[in-house]
Amino acid sequence: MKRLIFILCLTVLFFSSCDVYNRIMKKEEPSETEISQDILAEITGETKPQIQDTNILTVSKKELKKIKKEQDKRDKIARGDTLNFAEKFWYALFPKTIEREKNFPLMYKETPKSILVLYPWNRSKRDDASEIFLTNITKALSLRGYYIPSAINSFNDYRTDTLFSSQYIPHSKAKELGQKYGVDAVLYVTVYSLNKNWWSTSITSSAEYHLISTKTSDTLFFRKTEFIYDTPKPAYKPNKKSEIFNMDIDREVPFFGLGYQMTNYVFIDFPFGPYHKKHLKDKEKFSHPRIINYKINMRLDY
Amino acid sequence: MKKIILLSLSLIIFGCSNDLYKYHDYDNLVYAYGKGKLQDREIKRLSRQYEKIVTQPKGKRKVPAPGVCIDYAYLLYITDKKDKALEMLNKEIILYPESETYVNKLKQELGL
Repeated sequence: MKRLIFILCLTVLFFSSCDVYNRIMKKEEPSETEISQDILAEITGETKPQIQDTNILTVSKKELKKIKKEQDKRDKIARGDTLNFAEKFWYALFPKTIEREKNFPLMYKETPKSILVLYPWNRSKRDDASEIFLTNITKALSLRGYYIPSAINSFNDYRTDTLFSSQYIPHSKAKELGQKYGVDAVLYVTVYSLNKNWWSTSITSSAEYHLISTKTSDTLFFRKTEFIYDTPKPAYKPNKKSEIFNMDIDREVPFFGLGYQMTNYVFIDFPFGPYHKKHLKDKEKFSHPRIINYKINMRLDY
Repeated sequence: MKKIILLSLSLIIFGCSNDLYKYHDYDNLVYAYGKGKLQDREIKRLSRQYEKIVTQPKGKRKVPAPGVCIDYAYLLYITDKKDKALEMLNKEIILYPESETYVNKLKQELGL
């Protein structure tokens, strides 16, 4: 009896499992098939209407050269490279000078008096790049005759999250900053690199400067600079008489010096401010292009 | 005699700085402050250095550079010399009238 019941159970289980299999197979069977027009045409044997979407032209070598030349010319004009070989050679020997008024017309139109230097956005690998640049820029712009609010307070504002770095303040918010701090313009600085490789004697840095008006939100001054300093002469001489906080001669002075030299070169053609006697009298003086690469190399080649 | 006159003349001509302000040890001080947290003793020494910059102004304009009085006022405020700090902030407004909004905002923040 027991055997009979056991066999019965087994047969029931077997048939039920077969049923499960059938049910799964039914569900998995595709109800609709998605095939491309080409495959459909293959199956049904119908001819697919052919659409011609390319025009093939046979061009001779001469004509091809002509087309390529024309394309190159158009690309050159689009790049702003319109000088011929002789002109390029001439300007390489005697660089073209641009007048300050033409290079920074808005600076002379708006004549900002006070400039707020935001805590620089440090994208370099050095931790103190922002401090180096902020210290040097504050001093350089003050000497050009502008009012620059306190540098120490800029550090405090940044540390207490009262004022963020250039990274987090969009240019469109310059107006708000102008109302809050009573300044005519805001300087945004981004430090891309500040480094010295162990195998090399040169120190390199690259940075970008945007001076934004707080009245109109226009860019008054823009400069992108790559700076290479490679001379046996130190870039900066620290005050040896200083009672306190002497910078580390190997680790800090070369980088601080580079920041100092770079800032001086970047603002060398910056229009003079209202506290300078040459204010508005330097319109016709020379000015550098907006994107420049400086290389100071005074190392002797043996 | 001629040599001495020539030497002194050249010293006068080339020795004079064209800079608007004399910064003394300003770079070093600001960089040191920006770099890290300073202890009370160091802040006192820092404010002493700043005193020199503020009280002995040189350069063409013969006034402290912009923002230096604010820096000094802040250091005085930290070292509990609030009256003198207020005096310095007012001095900044007198020297640079465009700093009024900035200084007033700072006064509010410091409760002066």
